[in-house]
Amino acid sequence: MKKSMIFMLVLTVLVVNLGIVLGKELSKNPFSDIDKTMWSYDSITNLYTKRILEPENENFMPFEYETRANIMSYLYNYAKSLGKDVSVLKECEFNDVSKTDSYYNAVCWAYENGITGGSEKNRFAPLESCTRQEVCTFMMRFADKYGLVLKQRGDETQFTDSLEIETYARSYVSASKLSGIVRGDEKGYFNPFDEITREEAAVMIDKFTQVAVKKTKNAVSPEKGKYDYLYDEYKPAPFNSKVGESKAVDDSWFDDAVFVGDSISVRLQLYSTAKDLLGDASFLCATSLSPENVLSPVTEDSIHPSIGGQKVSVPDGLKMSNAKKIYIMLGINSLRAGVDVTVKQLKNFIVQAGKILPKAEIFVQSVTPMTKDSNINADNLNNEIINEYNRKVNKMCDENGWYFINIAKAVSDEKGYLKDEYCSDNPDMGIHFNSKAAQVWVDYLKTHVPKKLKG
Amino acid sequence: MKKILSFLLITLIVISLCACDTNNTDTEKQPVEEKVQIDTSEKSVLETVRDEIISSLEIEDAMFMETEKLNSLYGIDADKVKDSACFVTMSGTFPHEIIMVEADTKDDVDQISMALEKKLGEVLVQSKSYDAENYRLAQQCKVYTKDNYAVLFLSPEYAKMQTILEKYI
Repeated sequence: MKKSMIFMLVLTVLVVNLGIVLGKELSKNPFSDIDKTMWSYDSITNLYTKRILEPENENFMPFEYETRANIMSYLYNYAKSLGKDVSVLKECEFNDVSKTDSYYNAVCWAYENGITGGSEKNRFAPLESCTRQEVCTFMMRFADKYGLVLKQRGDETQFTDSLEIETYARSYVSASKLSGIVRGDEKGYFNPFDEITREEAAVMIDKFTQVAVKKTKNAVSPEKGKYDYLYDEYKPAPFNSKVGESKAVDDSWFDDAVFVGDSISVRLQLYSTAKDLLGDASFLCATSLSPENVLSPVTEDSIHPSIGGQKVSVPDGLKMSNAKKIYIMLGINSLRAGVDVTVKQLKNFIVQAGKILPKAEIFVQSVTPMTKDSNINADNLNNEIINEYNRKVNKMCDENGWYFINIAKAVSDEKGYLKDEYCSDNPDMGIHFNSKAAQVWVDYLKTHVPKKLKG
Repeated sequence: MKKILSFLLITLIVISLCACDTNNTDTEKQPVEEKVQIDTSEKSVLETVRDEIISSLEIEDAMFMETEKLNSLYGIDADKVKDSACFVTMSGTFPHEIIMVEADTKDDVDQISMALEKKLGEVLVQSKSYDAENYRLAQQCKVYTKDNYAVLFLSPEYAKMQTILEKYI
């Protein structure tokens, strides 16, 4: 009897403690779609605990773009939490914000206190997404309004794309960097026009609340124009897109890669599939694919890759791949129409690919040459034209922060021709690879990985 | 006398046994309607066909494709495949793709056959705008089905490969 009573007692204590712990956890996180494995978890739950973030339902939707209205609501609630008077003296002048909107007070307060001037005349665009530079601007205007300064946690070094930040936002972005609220990506880009996701916004606002203080040593000022001087003589270091030789990576490095290409790349797909190379890389390759047709919609007669036997458009294929690395080799099928127009079409495709997979790194591979005896050598398609195309593509990559993999170098002889020993259709076309060349290609890819990405 | 009779009898028996063994040893040509009997204890029918195609046509760079790879390339579900013998080569302007599959059931062979038709259609569309000669050759390729077998030879040697296949299936 005694033993069973002790047992019941211990069990009761355990159950109660478990309930307390679970209860605490649940009360800290009201959302069903975020968990502790996420990098933004602490920030989201901090904002919730501080009542800066008020849930509308059980889903936080961390990967959706954050709206302008929500940013105003966060700052409005933050002001309240600081004990500030958030009452508004007059009605909101924006014709796209009504009194019945949940964010009405927040938007009116923000406008009245100079935190936002609206999107355009008489419009606020409450449900449109916010860019990164806009969020920095709103936060710093808030701090300036309420006489706050920021703790210094960053430095004055510029982002690679600092000169792309709009003039009105430059000082605010610099203040955000100096206070450690923003750091930029692995290549040092701030990406000022990128739309911010809900989890990214939560992290920025949370960091802001942690560094905004009444006064501090070496304070960062949120004042308008305070750091404009940093941009006056700034010249960003040129980005060298050409990827040099590196220590070979394992095949698994390509697990999250997708290869987009024409018939040359179809060879790579078949070879690497048969030989179990390049990890779990996916392929969006088709004979006759080109910068000109790569974005065209699927029809019965269209040129498109297929996934699992189903024809897919390249944009859909990219979405399905969810790749973090996009390798592209396109151009030879369009070059007869001209180098410049082909480069332009390629750039357009890469920009679109970047929008579909914004977190993916772009690797543009050079177009490979023809053999000396190629029968398709002509005035409007030859190795000189291919070389000119590759030079311009390389320059395009320098200007846009995309990597350039010069595979052409690995398969060319000393005169720039595709080596006969690497060609499967010499002299008929004199451009396609045999198994030997495919292996050279795989080896080149594995030994030309940017150091910054290898980790 | 007894001994002589015994000797004659034995001689007759031996002669009659020799007479039985007068089969025509000319086996160079098999009757067309007879299928080759395969010893499947080591190799399957499809593997035998594959190996004969490779050796007869002197294909040097055949790369075998395992059944599990067929889904990503052709949309053929490995669960529906009882046996396969596929390979690709990197020769010529178009890679040669030899896809030979034995399905588990009749329904499965129909689905696999549809996947192969899609692949053939894809090759036709792509070669039409790319290279006239390869388009002409691709037009000669057909998806072949018999019993639970579905086969597609994407190759300029399609006809020769088909002849070899039909010896066994």
